[in-house]
Amino acid sequence: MRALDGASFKVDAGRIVGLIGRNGAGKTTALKSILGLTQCGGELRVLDLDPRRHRDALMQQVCFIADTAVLPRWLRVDRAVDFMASVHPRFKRQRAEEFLAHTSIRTTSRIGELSKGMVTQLHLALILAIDARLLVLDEPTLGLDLLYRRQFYDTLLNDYFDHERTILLTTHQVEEVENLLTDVLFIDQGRIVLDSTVEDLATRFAQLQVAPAQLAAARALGPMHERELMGRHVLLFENRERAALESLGEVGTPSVADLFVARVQGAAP
Amino acid sequence: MKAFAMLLRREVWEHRVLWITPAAIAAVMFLTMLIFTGYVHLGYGDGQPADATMHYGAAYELFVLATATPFYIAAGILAVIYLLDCLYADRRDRSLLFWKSLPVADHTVVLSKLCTGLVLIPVSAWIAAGATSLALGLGLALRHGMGFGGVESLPHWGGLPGWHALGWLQALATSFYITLAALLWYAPYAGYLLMVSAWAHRAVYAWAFLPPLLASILERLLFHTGYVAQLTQRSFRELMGLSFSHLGQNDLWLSLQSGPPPGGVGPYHGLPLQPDPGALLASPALWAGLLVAALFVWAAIALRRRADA
Repeated sequence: MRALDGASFKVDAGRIVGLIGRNGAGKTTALKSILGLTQCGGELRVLDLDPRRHRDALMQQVCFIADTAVLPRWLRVDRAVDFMASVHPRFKRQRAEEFLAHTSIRTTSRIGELSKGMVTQLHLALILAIDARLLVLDEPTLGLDLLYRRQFYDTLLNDYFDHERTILLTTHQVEEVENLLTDVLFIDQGRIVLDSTVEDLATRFAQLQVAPAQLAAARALGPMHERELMGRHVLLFENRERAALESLGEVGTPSVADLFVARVQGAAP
Repeated sequence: MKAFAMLLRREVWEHRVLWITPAAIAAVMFLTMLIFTGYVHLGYGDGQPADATMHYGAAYELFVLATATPFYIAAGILAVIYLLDCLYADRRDRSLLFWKSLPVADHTVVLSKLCTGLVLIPVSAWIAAGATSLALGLGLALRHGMGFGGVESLPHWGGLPGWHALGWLQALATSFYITLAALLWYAPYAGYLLMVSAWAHRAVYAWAFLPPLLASILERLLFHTGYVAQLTQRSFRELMGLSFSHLGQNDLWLSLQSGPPPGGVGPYHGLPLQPDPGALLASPALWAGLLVAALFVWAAIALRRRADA
């Protein structure tokens, strides 16, 4: 069985890209391929390097947080910083220590003694102190409460992103990252089913809410997806004249989550 | 080099038992020896006492080697436990991807673990044993100086062989040579355990010990031969025979018992242990073992590279 099937995409520098897909869609396999952690066929270049052959050199410029990349419970916080400072040529110790100083994490604590939220803060501190060009995040906030999740993304935007670095992330909580993404990639059954900038989504897709009386006329325009919401019908269109839609009902821009559902569930009946 | 040194430190952080064990043995041994009031007697395997004619420097040398034995036994056990656990532990606690997110090559990681299991642990045992025997020598001298011990005749303070600097240094040199010889000799075991640690997803001990054991039993049952056992066994006696010339016909023995203090104050020639590194390095068995060790380590690196969770 193929986890990735002809998935092809390009990510430019300085973008925040959301790789969005269902469980088993191939997100993690795609990320692992990008990080050189699994074998794959085809052409693959990350920062001008082939991860399958130059993983060690690549990892000097790439860092990642995955829900499966758990920090070792036996390691002490200060030793984690020492370790990173010794093995990573782009790690800035002072930056990590400054970040940790703003948290309630004690540097003499073992990671096993920290709460899940604190562990994520520590992981973020270690990662943000790396002067990396690409940050890969695979479900980084899984299991965290709302406050930690919000703090995580705020820190990412304020302290890390600077329009020269690139962030590639996957998450199930699409709504939470929707506003920080510059690009979206939808993946389904190993294939990329949508590759677009967030700016283009607004011009390319439209969401129309119609009363039952206008439904037939709206359906005649060929929606890509349709659902019923409290007695009204919500139809999603791709590349349709906005003026034509506005004559039938209320037109808006669909959320990334709505678009994802539409793309993956397929066209309306 | 800085990164490799940090990788070694990381192993000691993770496996605290690596330094706690020799420290505990040293403490127990030191206290026991200071309290002990019997005598150290030396002899040959044929039951004849040797200490009556043995120079006290040689007696002290043998005493130091004997006190090192518990450290080396513990080091052997620790090395097996460590090597089986080291690569498996990263997958068991799901920290593998964190370590893999760092710019450290898989072969560097595996070699750091091999270096810890095969070099750091036995060399630490050697250092701990040397320090303990030094502390014992000084402690016994102090005890004697304070008038405890009951035995007046030097050089056997309090029944234990008295401090003899040359004997101590000679014992350290001999034990260091044995340490180096042993780590080369047992390298295939270390490589094998490392490979199993990189490969097994659970029950590492079963995967490490059952296959060679079952293969050996099956061979014996089906073919009535013992080649598997022969191939997988590397005896310490054989190593000693390769490492030293003129080892003597009989093993030396040492016992702690009551009775008159051992004597013998003739010229000091050291123990009849003549290191012969040339013979050891010329041994095909040693090189065959190193080749097998290299293959196992290569397999461990390949497995580590492929591991992704």
